[in-house]
Amino acid sequence: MSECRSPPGHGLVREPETMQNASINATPLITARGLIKRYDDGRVTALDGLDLEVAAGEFVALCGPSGCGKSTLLNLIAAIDRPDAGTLTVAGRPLRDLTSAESDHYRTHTVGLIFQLHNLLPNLTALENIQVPLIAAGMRPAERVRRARLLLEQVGLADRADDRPPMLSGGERQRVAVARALANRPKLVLADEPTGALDSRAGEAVLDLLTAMRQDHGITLVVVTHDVGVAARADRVLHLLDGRLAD
Amino acid sequence: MSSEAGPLTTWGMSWRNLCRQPLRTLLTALGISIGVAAIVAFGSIVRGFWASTNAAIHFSEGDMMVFQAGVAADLFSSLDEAPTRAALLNDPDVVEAVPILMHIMPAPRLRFGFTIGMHPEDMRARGRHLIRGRYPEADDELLLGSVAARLAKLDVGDRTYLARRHFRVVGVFETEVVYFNSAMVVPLTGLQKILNRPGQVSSFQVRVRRGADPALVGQRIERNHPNLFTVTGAEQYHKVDQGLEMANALVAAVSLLAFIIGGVIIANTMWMTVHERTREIGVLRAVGWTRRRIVTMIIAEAAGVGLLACALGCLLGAGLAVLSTRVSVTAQFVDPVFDWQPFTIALVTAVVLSVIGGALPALRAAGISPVEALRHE
Repeated sequence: MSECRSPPGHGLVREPETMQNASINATPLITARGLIKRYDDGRVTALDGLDLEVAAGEFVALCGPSGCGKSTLLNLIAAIDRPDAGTLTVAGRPLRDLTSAESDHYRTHTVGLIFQLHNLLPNLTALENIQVPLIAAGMRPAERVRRARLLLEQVGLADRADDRPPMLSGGERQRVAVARALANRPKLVLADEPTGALDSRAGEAVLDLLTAMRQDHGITLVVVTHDVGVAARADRVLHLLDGRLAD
Repeated sequence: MSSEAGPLTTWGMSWRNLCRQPLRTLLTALGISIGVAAIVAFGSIVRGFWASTNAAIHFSEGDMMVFQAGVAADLFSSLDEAPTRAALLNDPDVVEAVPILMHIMPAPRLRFGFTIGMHPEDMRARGRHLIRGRYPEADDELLLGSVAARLAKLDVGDRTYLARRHFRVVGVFETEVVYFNSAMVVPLTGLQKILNRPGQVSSFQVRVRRGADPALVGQRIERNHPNLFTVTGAEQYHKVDQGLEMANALVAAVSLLAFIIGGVIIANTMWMTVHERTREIGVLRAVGWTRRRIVTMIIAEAAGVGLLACALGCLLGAGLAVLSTRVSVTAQFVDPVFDWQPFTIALVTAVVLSVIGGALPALRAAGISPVEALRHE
């Protein structure tokens, strides 16, 4: 996979025509100020005073070399990890102050996560995997099934509802993962290398799906990627280097 | 293809997880079921001891047994037949006092030659229990209980010997008391001669006047005759024999042992399964599952193993208890009672130990950091 670079005509901040996309709201959905995250008792600095704003409805690609802090930033925005310093606000909610229960609620209702290796539960069918976040949301069983079926149709896998992940191709698994991420109709979808484990054709299909879903559901999309193709579709490409946005 | 699958639930997740490694689930359940089986088998056998003891005390409409006070075991009780019988019948509410001499002596093919001496007229008064033959009329004739007859391979007309003396089997009887069914019943005077205990008996079976309270009569007998103990039910048998109490203590010890072993087995299995599923638990946390829901899922899995173990253990335990009635070593005194008690203890034990055994792995799972879990290989 080639290192992602801004496609022709794309700087750190994309050209005005994309920013003028009707679905993008000027109000920032994500705001980070002086974000610091260290590991190994402070010996490793993953994020070093990062500042960031992502508008509601925007599609942002996060690029950079391995270890630059991309996944760490995604984890902090997903509230599965906490910053050591700085502020991180998503949808007006400061994530650092969230209690454990509030973090669970936030992850259930505000964020959808897509992982590089799909991370579907192998003993559940495609339909059941999509229901997993719906259980967390406390949705009624019949409604869960109805919603999961609808999402499977939208990702083009209505006929694979009863298949378990080992019976699906890599691209199909990732499409189920996309459906799972969208199950609770989140404002924000965070994807960590969503095409990283797929061949180019399957990767393209997943990317088509993500962008279509973004249009249909009006979601904000933040994608960590090394893939030039992914970056080319983003409204903005942000480069991280040593825990900060590159100039 | 349209899916007909039902909605997924937390409990459904637990069930699916148990089905992922069916052999492991089964082996874990089998490990625990051995403890459960011990509880059920010992429990039902001890319940049988109690039931048989009660039935022996109240045999043929008897109300109580009377023994020598202060003996270490019922077989050691020794009473003078005539004066004690007279003293008992002197009580205004006592209408019958049947003298009984009990002993254990060598007998062919019987592990315990449990021998009961009774006067032939007292035997005849209990005639409904004779299933073939007749009552003894001479000192060298005996009756065999149905279990003793089966184990000793003897029947009416056969000859056998007790304490180097020859006896002829003249009848076979069957009662609801396994101890009696395992016994040989001989004329009292004959047994007194064999044992060189002329005029001595072990106990009396006493029947009280209709309408009289056996407990009050028993208390009066003990008050008037300090050398006597009365037993009106199995719960009082400890006054003359601690066997039942020891059996109860044994069941409690087995239950505790089963509890500890089962708890360790289930904790070990659940710990392994949580470790193997660290990444999946991280995914669940990442998509919003609360710690409580994770704990519920893991505990439900442990409880599922416990319930499976309970079902297997109950079947195994009941089977072992029934088998013990067919094996000569135990058949003479085992008559298990399968009432609610041992099964309830088994169920409670299995569920409680599952929850306790699953608690630590469940808390570990709930404490897993999603970030660390998602990095887990």
